[in-house]
Amino acid sequence: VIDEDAFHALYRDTAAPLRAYVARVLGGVGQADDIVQETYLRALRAPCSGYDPTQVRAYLFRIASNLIADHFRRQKRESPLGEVPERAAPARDDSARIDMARVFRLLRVRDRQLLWLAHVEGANYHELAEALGLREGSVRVLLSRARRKLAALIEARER
Amino acid sequence: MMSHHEPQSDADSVDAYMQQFARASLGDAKPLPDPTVIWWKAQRLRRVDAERRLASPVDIGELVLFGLGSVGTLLLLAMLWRTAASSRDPWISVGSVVAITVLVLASGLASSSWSRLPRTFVALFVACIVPAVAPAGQATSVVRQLPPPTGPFQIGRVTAHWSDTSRAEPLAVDRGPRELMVDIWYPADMGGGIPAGYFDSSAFEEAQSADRLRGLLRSAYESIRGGHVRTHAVEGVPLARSVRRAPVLIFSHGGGEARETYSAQLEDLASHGYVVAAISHTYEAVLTVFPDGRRVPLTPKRWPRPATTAIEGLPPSQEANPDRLRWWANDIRFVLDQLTKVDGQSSGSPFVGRLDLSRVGVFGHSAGGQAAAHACQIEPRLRACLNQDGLSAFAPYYPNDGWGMDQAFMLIVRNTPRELPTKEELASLGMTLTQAKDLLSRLDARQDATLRNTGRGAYRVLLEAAATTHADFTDLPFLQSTLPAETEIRARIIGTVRSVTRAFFDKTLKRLEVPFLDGHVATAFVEGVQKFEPANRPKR
Repeated sequence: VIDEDAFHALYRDTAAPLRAYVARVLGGVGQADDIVQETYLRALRAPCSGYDPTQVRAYLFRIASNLIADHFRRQKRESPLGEVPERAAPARDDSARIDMARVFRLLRVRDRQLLWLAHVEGANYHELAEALGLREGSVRVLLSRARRKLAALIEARER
Repeated sequence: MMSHHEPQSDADSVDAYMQQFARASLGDAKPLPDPTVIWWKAQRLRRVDAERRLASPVDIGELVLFGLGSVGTLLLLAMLWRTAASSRDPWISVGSVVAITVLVLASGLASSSWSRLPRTFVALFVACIVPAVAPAGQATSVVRQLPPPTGPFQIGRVTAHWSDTSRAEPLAVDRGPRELMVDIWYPADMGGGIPAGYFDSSAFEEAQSADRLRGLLRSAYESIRGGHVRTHAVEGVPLARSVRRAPVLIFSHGGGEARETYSAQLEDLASHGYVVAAISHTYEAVLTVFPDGRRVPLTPKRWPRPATTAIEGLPPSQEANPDRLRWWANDIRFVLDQLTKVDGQSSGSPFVGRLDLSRVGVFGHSAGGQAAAHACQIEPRLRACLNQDGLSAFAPYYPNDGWGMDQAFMLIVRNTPRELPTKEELASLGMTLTQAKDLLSRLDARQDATLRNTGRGAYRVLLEAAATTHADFTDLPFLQSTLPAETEIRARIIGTVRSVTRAFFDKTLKRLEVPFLDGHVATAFVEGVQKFEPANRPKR
């Protein structure tokens, strides 16, 4: 079981990258902090979670990934017409930052998760499968499809 | 292009893109959530888990309970399944079937005796459930109920529309009388009935806009607007027969809030035998809807802030406007007059001859808490006064000539740490650090002085500031929380607000022994209970 100082150290190391992941996949910072907080609460609350410092980062990203999936499921359910505003309309914008975020949001949620975890967090196939609840075999295919989609979007943007 | 080997250039360009994207700023990034608060909340939840594990029976009892539970569930499922077929909106019923099933399964799975359960039994149970549920698909609607009331009574509610002909309303078109809408919640006997509605969101949307309502309710918008949040009260049923005369409470909402969004508190008091009249202070509630269809929205700038302050160094904007307090306190006094009239009538309401007007208390949240306190200063028929987190310049009421009130008083206040201003803040206030420290200690002393100057003694209940917010006296933080741990914490905070409020009125109006107020009972989210002895009113 982790003590308070160790938790603060863990939080210092992981909270910012975790929030970046959640915010980028959600497409905004607004709800991200709720999910970040809930992620740590769950991790801390889990009864006698074997605390292995090398695994804990992956563990946090796994919890957050589940919460993201819950979030979109709930949104789909609560949205009266069943439409999910997760895919923003393509629009031109002067700011490159916003433009990158727009392009990213054109992808499916699963693709965003795969791409972020693989390229920013450097997760391998095994870790991706663990985090997203997928079979290792399918991760390979799904990731390559996601890459292809993003590459096409980038190309379309540059043209 | 469709080969399984992706072109290397794709992987490279995507990687370059993602690296750049990861480095880009998140935009309007607020600071990260405070880890101390997270740690603290987790400790709370762990304690709750531990208590729960201790309290649950471990041995054969659990197995028996689980068996009973599953048989009951199957019966319930069968019943619901039949109503689902005939119901107007079958998805709702199907939703509840799914919800109950999931709940029972989850509690079964979570129980510590899981490994002792015969696998075949569980398999059988699941086999019964799955085909019953399978056609339901995923079409559940989110139903968030208010926390259940804790008292022995069922709850009734009526809504009154009263006009105070003694006061002209300057904001009314014809300067007609001051009009108020008042919900009266009261104890009732067991019996069926459709639960009363929670919030008239369609009126709000017509009067304002869907966007405004969404902004107000945030994540609770869909469930409230869809009518999924219901009260536990039934409209217009008779008052409980076992209650001869009920003690009466009058409630005043916070500035720009709505009487409706305090239902969790109000109905809980009714379930314990109180008749609770909750006022909408017209023009200062978020929206007041009259029976003839008129809708009066909030008029925020009705009362200008006072231009001067009695406290040296304090910006006047920190002080309450005494005219506004008087206006609200007169609303409270008028409602007491109306209740007295209703009690004396020969027929026409559940309250005829049933109100105990020698036991009347008043309470309110925020601006309403100060109004409640001021009402006690001007109205001796009120016997007890509770202010829920309503401070102006740290004082819980308007200090009239230094004397508080003759009645018993309680202040529930969030124990916010006294943080000294930063250099920039000091500069903007035009103050030195010593001056700021001095001002803070004078303000603290001012609050203490108000609590020492009451005729029947006062209590100050300190809530833990890290976990609670000013809005936790309303239902909204609970209804808005979307994540389970947060929901659980909010529900428990409502529980604390309920039990502290009731403790005060049980002691002062019902004259019950209340161990909590003697300071020896630990209550979640309460940091401390301070008691101030009665004082003598200074002679004029």
